[in-house]
Amino acid sequence: MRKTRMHQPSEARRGGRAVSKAIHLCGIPLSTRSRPLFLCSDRVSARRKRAQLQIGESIAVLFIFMLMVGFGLFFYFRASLAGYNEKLASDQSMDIVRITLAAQSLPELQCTSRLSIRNCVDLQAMQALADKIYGPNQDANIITSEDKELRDFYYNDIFLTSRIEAIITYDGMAGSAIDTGKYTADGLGITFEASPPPAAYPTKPFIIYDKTILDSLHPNTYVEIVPVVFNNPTRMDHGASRGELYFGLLRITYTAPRI
Amino acid sequence: MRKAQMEIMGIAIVVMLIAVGLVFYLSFSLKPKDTSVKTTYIQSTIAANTLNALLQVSTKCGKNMMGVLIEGTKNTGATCVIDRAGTTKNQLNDIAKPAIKIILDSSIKARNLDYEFTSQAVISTTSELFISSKTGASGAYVQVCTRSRETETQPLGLVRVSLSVCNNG
Repeated sequence: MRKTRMHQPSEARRGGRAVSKAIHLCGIPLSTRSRPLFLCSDRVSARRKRAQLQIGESIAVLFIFMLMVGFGLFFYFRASLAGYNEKLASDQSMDIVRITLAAQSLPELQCTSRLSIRNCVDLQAMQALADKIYGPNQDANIITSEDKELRDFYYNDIFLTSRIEAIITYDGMAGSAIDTGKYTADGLGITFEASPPPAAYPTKPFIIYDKTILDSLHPNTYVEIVPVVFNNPTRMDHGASRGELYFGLLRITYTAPRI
Repeated sequence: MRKAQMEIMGIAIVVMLIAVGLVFYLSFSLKPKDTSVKTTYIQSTIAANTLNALLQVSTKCGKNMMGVLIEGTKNTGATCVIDRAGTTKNQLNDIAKPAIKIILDSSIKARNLDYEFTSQAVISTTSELFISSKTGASGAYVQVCTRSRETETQPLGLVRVSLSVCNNG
């Protein structure tokens, strides 16, 4: 400002027009000859402000547009992920149905065809199979390597990562309680441990096959229960084709890996 | 077209896009999942399998199967000998009824489902044997029941047996 004041009188002396507003640009003194196109006047600053506003508006529009695109993408991916999870759950629930049907109609467990009873499991056959593919006397730790190989290379394809258990709920003879001792006394070799109330079932489940996923914290678990008849052939009357028939359940628990 | 009109058009398009997005979102989120067919199928399978197994179970009456005992519903006074000492019991009330209740409680009620078991002689219109897990007034709550196909007991085929499985409460 001081410099401007110093130069003003000299301009007047040279006969030039004394311009108080337009001869300086942002504090820099200028002669009329070298007057620039853009000057620091109110009009110019108003124009500049309008341009800034227009740029700001464009940026805001772009920002909102990007925001909308972002929301669209977010919902699209969420919807497709939900669809994928639904498909996965549907496939896994089909797996449990397939495993259940396989367990129900497994020839290794079926009663003799002479009985002609649907959904009938022979206790002796069941015990033999459990000894082979789960472990002798319900102890999974003493399974031989040969049996383990059989389980992993043959039954694993059928039952996948599931557990198949047998539960006797009514043995027809001793009221609501199950006579757990009689199976050993019959020479059947099966031991059903009593499960006192408030347990849902009177006996502890007898495990036939178990390859459930243990190392995963939250696997998808599906449970299916099938009512069956258990045939105890050791209690067969002379000349009869069937032994005692008990009511029970096959419980299939399928642990599918969560992806 | 004036600039202001253009701006309004732009806003209208944006609002329209947002509205379309909202409609899609709401239609997906509020769409009810149709599980009724699956539930009906599961319940009918449970009912059919349970009834099938139930009729085959041995009983105290000389190892007779439950189906044979249920045929006794034609004659409510039928008795049977349950031990070597010659103790006699009523087939229907002392043997069949408690056994059926135990079986159905352990297989159906344990799944939080209600059941209704009915056996009826073909020539009779009144229910001879009726066992239900339902409690309270029957009209107090709405239930979805799936009835098993009626099964006639073998070998005489004179008693009609049915089992209904219902959603609990």
